[in-house]
Amino acid sequence: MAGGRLGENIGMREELIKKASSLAMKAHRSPGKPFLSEKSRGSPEIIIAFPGSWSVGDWFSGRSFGETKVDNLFPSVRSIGNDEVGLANEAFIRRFKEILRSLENEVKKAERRQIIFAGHSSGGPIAILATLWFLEESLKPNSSPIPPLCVTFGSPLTGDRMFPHALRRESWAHYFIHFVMKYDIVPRIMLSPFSSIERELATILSFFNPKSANFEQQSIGRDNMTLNFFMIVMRNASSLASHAACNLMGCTNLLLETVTNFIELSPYRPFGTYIFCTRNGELVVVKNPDAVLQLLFYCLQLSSEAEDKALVAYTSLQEHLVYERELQESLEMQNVVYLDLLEELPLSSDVSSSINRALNELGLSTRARLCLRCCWREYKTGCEVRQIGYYDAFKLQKEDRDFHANVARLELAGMWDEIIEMLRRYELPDGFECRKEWIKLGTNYRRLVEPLDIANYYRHLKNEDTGPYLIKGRPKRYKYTQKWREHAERLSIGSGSESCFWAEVEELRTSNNGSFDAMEDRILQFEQRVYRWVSAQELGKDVFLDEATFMKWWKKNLPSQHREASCLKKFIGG
Amino acid sequence: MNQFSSGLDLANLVLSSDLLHLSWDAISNLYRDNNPSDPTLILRVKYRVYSQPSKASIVVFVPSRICTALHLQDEGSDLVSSATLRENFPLFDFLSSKDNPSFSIHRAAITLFASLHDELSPLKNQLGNTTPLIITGHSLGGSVASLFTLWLLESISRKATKRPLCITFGSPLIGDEGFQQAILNRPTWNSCFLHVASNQDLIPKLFISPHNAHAPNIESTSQTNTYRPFGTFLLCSESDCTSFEEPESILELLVAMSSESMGNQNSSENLQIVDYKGFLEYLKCKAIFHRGVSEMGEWLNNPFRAGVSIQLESIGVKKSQQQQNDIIIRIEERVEKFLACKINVFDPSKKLNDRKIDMAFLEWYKKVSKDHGGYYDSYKNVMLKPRATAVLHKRILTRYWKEMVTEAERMPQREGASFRFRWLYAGTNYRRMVEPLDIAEHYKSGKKDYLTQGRSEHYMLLEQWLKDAKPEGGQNSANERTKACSQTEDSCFWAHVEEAIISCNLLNAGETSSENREMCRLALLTFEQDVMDLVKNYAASPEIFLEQSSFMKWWRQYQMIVGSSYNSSLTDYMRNHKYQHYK
Repeated sequence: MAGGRLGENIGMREELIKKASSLAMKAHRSPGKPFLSEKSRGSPEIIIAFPGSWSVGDWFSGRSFGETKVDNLFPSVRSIGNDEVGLANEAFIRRFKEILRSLENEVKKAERRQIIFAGHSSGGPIAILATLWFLEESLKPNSSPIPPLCVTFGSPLTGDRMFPHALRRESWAHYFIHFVMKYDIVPRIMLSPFSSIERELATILSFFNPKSANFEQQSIGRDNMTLNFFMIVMRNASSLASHAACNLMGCTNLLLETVTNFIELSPYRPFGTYIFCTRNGELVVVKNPDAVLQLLFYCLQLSSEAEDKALVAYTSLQEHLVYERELQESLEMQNVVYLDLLEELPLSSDVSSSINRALNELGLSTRARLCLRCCWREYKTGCEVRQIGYYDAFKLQKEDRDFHANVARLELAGMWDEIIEMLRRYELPDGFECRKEWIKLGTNYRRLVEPLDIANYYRHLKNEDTGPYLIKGRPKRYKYTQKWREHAERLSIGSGSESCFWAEVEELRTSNNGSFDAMEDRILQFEQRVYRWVSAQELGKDVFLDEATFMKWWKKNLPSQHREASCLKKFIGG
Repeated sequence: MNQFSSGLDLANLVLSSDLLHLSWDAISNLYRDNNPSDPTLILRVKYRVYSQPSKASIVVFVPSRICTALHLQDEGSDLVSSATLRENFPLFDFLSSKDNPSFSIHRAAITLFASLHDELSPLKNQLGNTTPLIITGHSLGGSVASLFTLWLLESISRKATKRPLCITFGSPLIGDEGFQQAILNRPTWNSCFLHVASNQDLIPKLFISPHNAHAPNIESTSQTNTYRPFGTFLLCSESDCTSFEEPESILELLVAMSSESMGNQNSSENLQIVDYKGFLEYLKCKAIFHRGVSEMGEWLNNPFRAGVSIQLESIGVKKSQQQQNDIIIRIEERVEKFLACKINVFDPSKKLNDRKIDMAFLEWYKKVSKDHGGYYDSYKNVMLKPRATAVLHKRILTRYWKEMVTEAERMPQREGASFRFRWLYAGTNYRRMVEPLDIAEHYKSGKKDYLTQGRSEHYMLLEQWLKDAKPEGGQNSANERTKACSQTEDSCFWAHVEEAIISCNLLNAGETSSENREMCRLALLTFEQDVMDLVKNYAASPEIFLEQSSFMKWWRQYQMIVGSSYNSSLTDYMRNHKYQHYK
């Protein structure tokens, strides 16, 4: 297990964490302000802390789990090839949008200082979204800001599984640091459907509200309603953790799928670095999001039947308010354990080691340990994936005989299809679609082989059976690799389709009986794209050879008036 | 190999959801309204439907009076075979398939079900595609619930993505190996059954004969007339619960766990009904709130074994360390074997890519054979060098597709249908490419009547599926061809040509009866018409008009027979060489 002081490992100084936690608590007590900011003189950082809100409407909107698509606000939160858009809590997004304008001004004032976004409780999600927004901004041209940090204390979960996926892909995950007290109920609340906790939630939230009469009232904490609330949250957390564990363990029992249709499971998932804190000052650092999800449930389990459930329920509320004080102590003690080698986790509690002490401290049974172990994924970048790297796509060109080139083409296609299939199931590392060597390999492959596939498609007249290549026939291996490049080079979606050149030519040739008038717009746009591709050397000039299909069509079907004025004129000459 | 055993987590998921409670509550409601303790009642099965808006609808089956293990023994454990059922109650005949032709069902269960059949028919129609739907039952009621679910699954719409869930509590096993196999062959059906069995309940293990359960493995599977489990079992004890899917392990553990708990109990307890409600309530709490013990022997550091060990512990199977280790190893072996079969069924797509390469070889052969009389005739007559390669790849392809077709046939309708759809295009290409070669071999060896005598069944099925997949009302006009296709659409075209040549020969020989001659003439007329239809739709490959092809050979013969005075659209097409422009 990795060692070292906490601050060095997670990239945030202890003293800064303490300051952030104090400011985050202070933000709650400053009514009317969208956030507090603090920059000490000479310090290279500025801390911006967001207050929480205690009204139910600011936690859940609508029914179910109150989730909505993040859409254009956070364009990176999606998968590239599969093109799935992430979901986030709608109420949190709304609150973030409300403060966005004033936040923009504040960020401008930061100048060359590193910004720390901080939040306690439901201020946490705002800090998370602010950080994400900042990171998205930094992708824009001409900006080279200092990477921000986000630190939350007892924050509820904010986004779905696309968040851990996309943030790890973009290498942003380590900017997010979440502190969670072992028993704090709040980080688990989002695992329950709103309808199941609707009755209790308002009262529970008032317990956390410094301005409410219920603030930290034992009468609330000891109430049966609190116990009830605790049980519901636990039960839902248990369902979700078990479901996730089944999938991670590679459960082949299809009953899992059948049962899943009958129950509501929360879409929310943790991401970033989690630090679980016990009252004894133990700090357990976990970066694997699957493992964090398991811990969110298993840490709450009681040690024996004798333990007083009502008391634990009360504790689960109290621990939401102790971060500032507990962290002061824990950070001094530096009893830190890093759970990073999950596959080597001891299953028995009787082995003596620092890691076991921490696991016992968190109260993890063998079952829980098994669930953590299965979170370690050995990615099946199996032989197919490696093989393709060695496979020289250019071999295709050297093969003088058509037929062997054809067989090689099919073999290659098989390998790519397997990779795409793994991506569809999210079985490859999150950053796979961003790896330079793969983008290059995929682009080369696509430019070289797709024209052959297109030729084959039209040679076998599949367009007559099935429809145009671009709509009906284009294999996923080309769509995905095109999206990889578009994402990496920040191109607009669909602009990198140079490998489909011949398919467009074929379609133009055959549609509308080749009449020019009906398609003038389409042809003009197409020519502009060709111009761009050829200028950027993405498309070879051999397409302008006289005997090539394109030139034959161009010269024969397009009126000379158009040809004279065409942007392609300068390539064609004569 | 799966490194983990997820039985505990699946059990925990089921337990922490409300599904079991909802089901048991519905069962106790129905019991309460029926006063089941009156022993004078005749044993029947009662049912009721609970439908709540925005929640799962529940269909409940319970016996009309208390039905303990003793009562059940009185009812008898004999099985009725599918052969007998076919005569008087053929409702479940759909379970038999070609490679699993017979099965048997517990007589009492099927009799009770049959007695309700008239009432259940409208209920089944009414439930139709209701989702979500839970079907549940206790004891013999559970048996009837299982049968009802099977019946429902068979008729469920192909498009429905959500399947019903059948939850039984303390039900006896209901069928033999054939019955089990019929369900296991349909993985999605098997996934709809969850059987809850408590270690205090004698009923689930009642029909397990001793030699069946204790024999660790294979010998017992050859036994017929013994009961076998299907679906997933949720086994529970006073301390915890877990789930198993692998059937042999279920048999072993059902016996092992109840012998542990029954050891020191009075047999009069057999008269009690096990209270699943209390059980569930307690287990649910426990599974969610209390962590288990954490001591593991060192050899259990393998996660799979550690998982199974906790599973055994959770159902109270406490044997000596050695015995326990033996059980764990047995389970490990069985599960491994069980998974191997499963994965086989599920990943045929990987090989499909390789088959595309075989197809490329054949395509290439087709190309080179063009100068030697075309694909069909050169395969039949000419010993081209690449022919050997073609034979090899043809053999590989045929084996693959025969297997795929058998696999698809074994699946239940709906699942089979989607499977077929995915493979349809590749299968159709294969059929059009390879079947002509089979026809060539057939006629080359001097045989006749390919269509009735020689055609392999998998071709017929592939053709049938294509027809099923096409939307009704014939071809869409937008999809009409404007150019000749490269492979003739009718994969049996060459068989028709060969039959036409044989007819011509018969007519030429002039020896047969006038009746036969008339039949030949009719057949030839039909053939003429078929060819013209293909040509008009561009559905024939231009290859058929190559000079050395069998088709042209037929035409030359036919031309002589009919004479120059005969006129038809085909003779017009051929005599005037219009075919030379067919492309």
